Amino acid sequence: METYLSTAQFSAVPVQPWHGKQEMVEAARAHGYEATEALLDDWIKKGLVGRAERVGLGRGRGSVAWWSSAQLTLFVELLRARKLGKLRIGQLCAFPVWRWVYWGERGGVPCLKSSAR
Amino acid sequence: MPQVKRAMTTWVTSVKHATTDRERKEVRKGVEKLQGRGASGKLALINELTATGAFQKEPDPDLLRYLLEPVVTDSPLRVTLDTGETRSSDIEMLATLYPLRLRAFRHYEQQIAGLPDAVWEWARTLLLFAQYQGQRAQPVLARNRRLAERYHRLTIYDVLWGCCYDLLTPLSLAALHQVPDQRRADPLPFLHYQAWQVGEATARINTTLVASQLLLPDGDRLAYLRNEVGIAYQEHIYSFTLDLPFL
Repeated sequence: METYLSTAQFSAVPVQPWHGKQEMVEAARAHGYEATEALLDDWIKKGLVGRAERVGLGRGRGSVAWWSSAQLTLFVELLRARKLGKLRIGQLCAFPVWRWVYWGERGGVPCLKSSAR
Repeated sequence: MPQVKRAMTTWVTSVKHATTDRERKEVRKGVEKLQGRGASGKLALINELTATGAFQKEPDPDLLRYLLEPVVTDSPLRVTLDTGETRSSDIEMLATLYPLRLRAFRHYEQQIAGLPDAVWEWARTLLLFAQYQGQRAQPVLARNRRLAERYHRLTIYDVLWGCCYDLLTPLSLAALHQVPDQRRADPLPFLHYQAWQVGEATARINTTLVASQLLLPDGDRLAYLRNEVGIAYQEHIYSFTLDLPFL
């Protein structure tokens, strides 16, 4: 997948607003990183990636799990840091914390109160 | 548990299980940054910080002060103790915060992970405020050639690597009761964690991307991440704005 903006300051990639689990993994692979559903599950458990938001499909039709575009870019950012910087899990933890502290709602790591479930 | 709390728990576990070699490497890097002109006794300091950082022995603030003195020889600020004695603020801060940090790691699960969300929000706001204060002091400190490297201008990427440590510090101050309780006498009562804990203080933080007038060589405008913070406390709003550049 091509980046459509890459400057000395930051780069941007085209993303859709919401992603299912398989789409998260496929999008990460399209960026050239090794990703699996098991890895995503493990990183969710560790807090590197957020939990999916569940959206009901209507009475009796169950629900689907979606991740925001910010969580997808966080996932890709983590994979990139792991590959290029050879960072360990402990070091990768800085990414979601940094997003929460400095990027606020824009970072896609939600405020504590609204995400407590 | 929300994502930030899970990430912090994972990070604390990884630090607690770090090998002595890895700890020594990190300590060396830290001491390199701290050392002043004509520093001596670095090895003894590195050994002590490695042993305590790897949880092999209890930190002793007095021993730390003694070992830091010959290494941290350029300290721009002084603090005056209750006794009237003045000391290097860097040494005093390290000798106080380092043992506290180790206690925070030891007691993280029992005392910090479960802190109310309001205290976590306070820690975030305090951290933004500390960066804001640091930015205001930075031009003065960086004018001193010996200190310029230590107090360089921070970008949004510079604050990434230390942010888990940075967030843990205020959380541990609150959890381990290292902040004086008399918040009425506090010069910044709206930044006292107890005011947040009881819901008397809350913050609204607006984060935006802003372009400055400065042009980069490629013609792009230098961009900043702007955090506009408004703290509501006792019918007043206390505001500050933190701009962190991307380059």
